[in-house]
Amino acid sequence: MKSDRIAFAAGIAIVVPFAVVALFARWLAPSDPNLIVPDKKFRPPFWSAGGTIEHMLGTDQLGRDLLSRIMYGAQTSLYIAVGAVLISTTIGVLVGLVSGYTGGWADKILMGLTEVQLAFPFILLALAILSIADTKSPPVLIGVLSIASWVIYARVVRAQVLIEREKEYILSATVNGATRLRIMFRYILPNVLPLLVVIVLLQLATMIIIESVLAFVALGVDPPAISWGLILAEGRRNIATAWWMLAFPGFAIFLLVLGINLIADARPSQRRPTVPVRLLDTDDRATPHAASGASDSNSDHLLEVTDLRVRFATGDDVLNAVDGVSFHIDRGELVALVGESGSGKSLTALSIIGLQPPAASLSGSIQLDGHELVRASGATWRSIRGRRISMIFQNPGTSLNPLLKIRTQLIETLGAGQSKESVGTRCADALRDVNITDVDRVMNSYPFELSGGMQQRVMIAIALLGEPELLIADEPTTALDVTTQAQILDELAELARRRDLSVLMITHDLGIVRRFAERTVVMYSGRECETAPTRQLLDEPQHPYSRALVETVMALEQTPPRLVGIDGRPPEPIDRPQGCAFAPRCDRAQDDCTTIVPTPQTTATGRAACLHIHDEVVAG
Amino acid sequence: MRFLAGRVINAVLVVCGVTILTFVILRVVPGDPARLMVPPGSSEDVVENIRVELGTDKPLLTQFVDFARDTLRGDLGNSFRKDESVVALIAQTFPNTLVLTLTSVLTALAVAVPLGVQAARRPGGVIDRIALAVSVALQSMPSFWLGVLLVYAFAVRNRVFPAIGMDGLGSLVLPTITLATGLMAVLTRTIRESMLSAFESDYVRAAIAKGLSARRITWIHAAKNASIPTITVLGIQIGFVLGGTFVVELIFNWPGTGLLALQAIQQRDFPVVQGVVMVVAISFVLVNLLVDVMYAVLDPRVRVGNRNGSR
Repeated sequence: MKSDRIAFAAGIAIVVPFAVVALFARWLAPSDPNLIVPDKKFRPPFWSAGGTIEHMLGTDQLGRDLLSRIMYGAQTSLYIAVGAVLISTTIGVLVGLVSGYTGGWADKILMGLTEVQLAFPFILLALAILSIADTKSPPVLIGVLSIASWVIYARVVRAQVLIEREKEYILSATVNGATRLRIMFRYILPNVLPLLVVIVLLQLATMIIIESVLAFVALGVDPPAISWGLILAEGRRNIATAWWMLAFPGFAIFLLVLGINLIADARPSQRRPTVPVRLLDTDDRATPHAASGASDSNSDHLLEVTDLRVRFATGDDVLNAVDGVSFHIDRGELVALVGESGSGKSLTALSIIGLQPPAASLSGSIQLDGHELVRASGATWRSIRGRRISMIFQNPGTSLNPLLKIRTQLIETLGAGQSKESVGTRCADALRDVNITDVDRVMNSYPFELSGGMQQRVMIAIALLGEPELLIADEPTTALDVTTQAQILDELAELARRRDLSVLMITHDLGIVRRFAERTVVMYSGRECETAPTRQLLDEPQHPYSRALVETVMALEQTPPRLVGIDGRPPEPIDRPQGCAFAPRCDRAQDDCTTIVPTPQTTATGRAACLHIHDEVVAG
Repeated sequence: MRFLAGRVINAVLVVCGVTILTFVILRVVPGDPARLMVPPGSSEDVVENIRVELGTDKPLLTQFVDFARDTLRGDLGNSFRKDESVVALIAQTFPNTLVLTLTSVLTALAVAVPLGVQAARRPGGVIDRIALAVSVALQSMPSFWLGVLLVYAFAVRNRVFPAIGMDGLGSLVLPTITLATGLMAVLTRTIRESMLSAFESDYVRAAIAKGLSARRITWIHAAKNASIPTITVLGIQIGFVLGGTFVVELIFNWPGTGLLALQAIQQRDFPVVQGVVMVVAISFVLVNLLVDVMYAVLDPRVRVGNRNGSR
């Protein structure tokens, strides 16, 4: 992101001058920082009355030049902080690598030791040691700070090593006879490095602060070395007289630490919200309109999607992830939406319940019972979701809140305003409807205590609690084993039949389509490709893509199975070809296919979007 | 409950380790406490007397056995400068430190929770940008500088709050702000990050699909999950706050354990230093244990040991 780069540049712009001053303080400082001139004590900065340009930031209680002292302070500060970070990193990385990679007793002892040391608040350990140290020269301070902080690196490196160790490239390197040393330094260390850099920077900032804190409480570096903390402590004693002795050294610490933090913060991996967080901004108190009452269109269909387009603006380009899809679902009808990943089927489904990503913009029309849902208000959506349209997802394990009991997750769906008993009965009934027999146990369980199949049954029960008219099922059985898959599909079909519930099944699996759906919509590259009753679609696919798809599956089901694929790959929506999206892979493509976008036309079985759908099929 | 039993045993072991480490550090580091305790140029006899009194004349192993026995009895020795036992001195001061730590943590939470949640609800929005910028700046603010500036602004220039000592609620204000600021910054960022990742989760998407209210999704579904990483960070940070109190106590002359330790260090009151280090370290262990208990309360998977090493 752009603001990241600005922060990074700002950080560098702050830290580099400090480093230069620290390195060249002897030549840059206007005067000797320890030169005592009693006549000049407590001179204010040059812009205040009584200040001189000779002592730009004023002088202290002994008439020493404050600017020079702060410059030398930078030297002390960075010398000690960098030194301590270098030593503690070296120790910590070595210990972490060895401990994590070799494991066993060495690992246990080292980790026990680090746990004990972590129990010491860092600064306390430094304090304890310094309180009895004879001298406090910079090397002593470096040593003390290193002892107190190496543990952090060891823990982080070890944890990362444990992850890396199990990865395949390490295993294959081991098999290929790489030595331990080589594996540790050549393979594992580079992978730990990015994280390590961040920690090193943050520790550097911490060390700078601690060095000055120690000096502030008179446990810092001995004179003649100068520490910012020492200047501050002297300033504190003269707080009523010399504000500049407080302001400038503190500001120096603040600025340097801020610069380092800015650099450390500017990591590239800024996540983008994928789930519509903005949906949460809906005003709960607004009056829901629409969603019930008489329909304002003549359509008999429960859901009517017309020329739906979902666009994402990516930089200068516009990406049409869904590029004109039309279909309808009648009451009690089971419809499948089929396509490969990237075909836009899931995005179409999410749009129907208003869950498309926040960056998406919709056009076209989605009508539920004649009510327009494209651009519906947040309050309208709330009155629809769970009550008229429900949705179940691919991963029941993560779609249930891991920290809430099933009971809670059922009850909250019903909302307030009902007696406790009736809520309890309705929830129990809902579970029984999805063939859960030990209702009490399941109600009192947390999601992780249930199997995948049970989790999905619970999801279905939750989705149906509000007695919706339409259920969207986005690959609901992909994460389940084949037997459970079949059971759940059959249960769902049975439930739909009993309740006159319409289901939109999103899937890439023609087996599921055949088992479940009465009618099927095939999508390819964000566009509708063919729509037909499922039986006919599978028996006599009209569109060249559906035909290829069906043939692929048929070939797999033959004994012995053959592997027939469609040549090439579906285009990414961003570089969808002109004309028919399937043309480059189509064995019947003609010249006009690459220029004209086909619109769906009526066929013998339904409709299909192919320019040459009515052409004589050439045998082959 | 097996999880908790394990954590308690672990805490006991760590406390033992901490005790041993304190002992070792204060004896292995070059520097003779006895010599530090007498004026420079004192005769060897005087130093030797103090060694006897401290027990540092005996072999290291004997010292350790004595030390361990006394510690187990709850006897941390006597102060060299004040006519009191170390335990009594700590008992007088530790509640004050605890009060300061608590008010700081509560203040930080009171600001960070609404701010972090609001920032996460509109990532990239005005509140989010301001919260992020302010917390980066506050995180870089050394607390002792902030403390001194506050004294200058509100006690020296304008006498709004008492500058030093412990006298009524007013005297809590400045030290609390000083201690809370850094914590506030860290917590705001942690809460924002945790809430964001909760908002991006499948279960929040499913909760929206169920038609739940924004309030319920935010404060029940997302916040409960986001509280786990937040508590982890809070546990670590409380350690820093406990360790950081001594500077604040020095600036505001707050009669807490930190100030006691600093005075003891200046007066070379060796037994007191040793006692304070141990007590603070042990309270840090207890805070961590409390964090583990909170995990178990919040996360059913931790309770049954399904998620080992959840930190």
